[in-house]
Amino acid sequence: MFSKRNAPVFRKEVLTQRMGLILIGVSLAILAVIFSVFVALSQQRHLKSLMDDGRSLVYWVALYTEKELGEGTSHALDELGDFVEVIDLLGGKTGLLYAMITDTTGQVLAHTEAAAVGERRDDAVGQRAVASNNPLQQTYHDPGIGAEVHEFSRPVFHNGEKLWVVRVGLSTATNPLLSKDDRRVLSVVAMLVFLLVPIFYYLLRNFLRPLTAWNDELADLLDKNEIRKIRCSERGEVGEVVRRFNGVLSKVSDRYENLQVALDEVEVSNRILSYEKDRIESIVDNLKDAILVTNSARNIILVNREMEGFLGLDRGAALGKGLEECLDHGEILALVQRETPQGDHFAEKVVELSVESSGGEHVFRATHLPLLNAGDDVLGSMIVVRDVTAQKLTDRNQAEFIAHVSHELKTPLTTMKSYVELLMDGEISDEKTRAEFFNTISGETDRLARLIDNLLNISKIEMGSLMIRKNLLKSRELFEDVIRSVESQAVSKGVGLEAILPDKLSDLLVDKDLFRVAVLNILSNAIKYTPPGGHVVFRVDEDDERMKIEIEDSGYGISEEELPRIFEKFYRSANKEIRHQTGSGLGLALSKEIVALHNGEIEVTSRLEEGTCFSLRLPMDEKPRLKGFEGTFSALVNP
Amino acid sequence: MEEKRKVLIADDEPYILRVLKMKLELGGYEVDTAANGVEALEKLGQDSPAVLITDINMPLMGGRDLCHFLEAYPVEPPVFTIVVTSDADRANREWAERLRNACFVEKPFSPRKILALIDGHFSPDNTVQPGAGSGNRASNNGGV
Repeated sequence: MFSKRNAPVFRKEVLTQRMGLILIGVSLAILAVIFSVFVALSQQRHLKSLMDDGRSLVYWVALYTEKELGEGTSHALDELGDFVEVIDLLGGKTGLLYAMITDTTGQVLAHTEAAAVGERRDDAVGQRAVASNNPLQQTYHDPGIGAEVHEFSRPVFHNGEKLWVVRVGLSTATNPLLSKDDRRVLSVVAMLVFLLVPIFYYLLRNFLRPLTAWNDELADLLDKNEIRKIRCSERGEVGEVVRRFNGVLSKVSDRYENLQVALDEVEVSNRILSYEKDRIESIVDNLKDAILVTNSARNIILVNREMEGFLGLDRGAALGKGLEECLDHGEILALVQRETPQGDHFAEKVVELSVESSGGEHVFRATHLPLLNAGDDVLGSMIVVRDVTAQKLTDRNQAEFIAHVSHELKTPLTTMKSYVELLMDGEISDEKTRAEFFNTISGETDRLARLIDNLLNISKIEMGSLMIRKNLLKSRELFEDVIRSVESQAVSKGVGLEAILPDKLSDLLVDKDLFRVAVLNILSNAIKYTPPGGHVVFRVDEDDERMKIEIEDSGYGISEEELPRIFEKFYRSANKEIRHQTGSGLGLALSKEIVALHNGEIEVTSRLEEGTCFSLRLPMDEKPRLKGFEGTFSALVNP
Repeated sequence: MEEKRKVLIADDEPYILRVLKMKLELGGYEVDTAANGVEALEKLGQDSPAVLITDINMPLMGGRDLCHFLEAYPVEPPVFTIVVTSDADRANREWAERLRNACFVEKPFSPRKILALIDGHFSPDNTVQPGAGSGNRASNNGGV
């Protein structure tokens, strides 16, 4: 709830200790102040007394010596030493430093120190004292005692003549800081203070006790990091304060709990939003379409992985930057900057881009879309780039397929219609030609029927709607039937047909009609594209894993360039010899699809002018281990 | 005796070549055939035919390329060209409609009407209208 790091910790002991120390400090300070006041007052009184004493003393000495003059000066001078001694006794109590009488030249006539008699005192103080005709008070600093000296002097006249000068020096330095009375008073005051301090302390502590308990409770709350009401049984103002504080605390607690709930909800919402954001970003990132989103200020706010690759930019560095700043793809930039006739930058715009790459030409469709909120305000824009190469190819293939089908269907129809027309018009009088025409019409009818069958089968295979009905067949019978079907074709063309079948052939589990078509298409093609005099070999072989059907011819062959394309629908070789033969370009495509439906595969090898070999391989799981007809069959049709 | 007009037929279907050749020869034309565009181009240069009948889908060179070649290198007198196609999509024959002195015939066509179209083209009053195709789809852009 609270951060303990920031919470101050108050302890009862600490508070009490502090309070005691503060009280002692305060009492000592009070005593120091009282002491200072006493000292100052005492010194002031002492100085005043000293001044009075000095003035009195010098007056009395001068008066005395003046009085004695009447009785004879010499006598007065004799008595002067004794008098000074008396003065010394009296003055000692008031801080007398010296008393002396000098003549008008400054020579000492009498002095409290006998040794000084006869000396000449002509220092500045002495000169001023001798020169003055009036009582004089001087203060000077005596470095000998390190204190101020107050000198009082008074000249003595007799019959208008200045006889001598009385000088008295007094100092406060020799006096104690406090007088005896002051010390007594100060002691009483100090005792009073020291007595009052514990009492005051006791009273204060009693007064603060509820506050201390409150402080303890608060410290406990802080220690336990919780918010609750403080226990308080006190009455009076402190109790009232605590109760009000509890009221505030209760409201804070309620608010705190509400905030905590809101915070939890916000946290949950944030996590959900974060999850949703991650999920959406993950989805967007894994889309095959390249996507770039900007805000209304045209700053990039999202770039998915495809777009990063497509534009070749570092999306970490691009985020937050202006679109024009990061985009150097001219056509995309032109799309974004292109204005609609209404001058709207954010309207939907589309452009198709053709990009040459190592994998060939790719077509991309770039769309610029506005991002609008419910109120149709523009929030930004989105650029979506989609690779439409496959779609374009599909569209083209579909158009080509339709064109091919149309061509393949209409060609035999045209032949039939033309031949019939000539016959109907009676323009063919020659019986042989008439027979040829009828045969051609019949052949073209068959061609049309086969074409339609092939088309239907291929369509069904591609749509996945072709039903394969596998039955157990005697493979030998199936192959013999196929060979019989092309025998007349081989004979009429003069191509030798040889069938090599092993003595023992397993039964086949195949769709009889479809598989027959698959083998027949290849065998028929082999005869068709082998010139007269050539030969075709039909060879069947089997082992434990597969049955192999090989159809090898000595025909025109297929060039290396055309070989990979011969199984494409409607693909026909450009070879002139092959083009002269009728064909739809569907037979091999259908054979491959049918073999694939039987989990088999077709391989082809060919050399131009030498021939071609088709190998059909059927896995053994398409061939149950039932040994069927065992016999021998070989057909050799010589041209 | 008036020299027969030469007709060149380019188609990779032997039966169609056979029947058209027979019909046009009976109609009084001298007919030569080509199995693809390249062969036709060679014969156009050698024999100077008056009429070219060409299929569109042919190996080596299709009818479209052949016609474009004729457009690019016109001969005198101009060859009257009949383009034969099985493509029913009109969008795929816009190019043929832009050709000069040519018309367009859709398969399956009638040899009788092909002959009539050629006859009409060379008749003095030139009144025979296109319509050799079974569905009257023939179009004439050459002012026949």
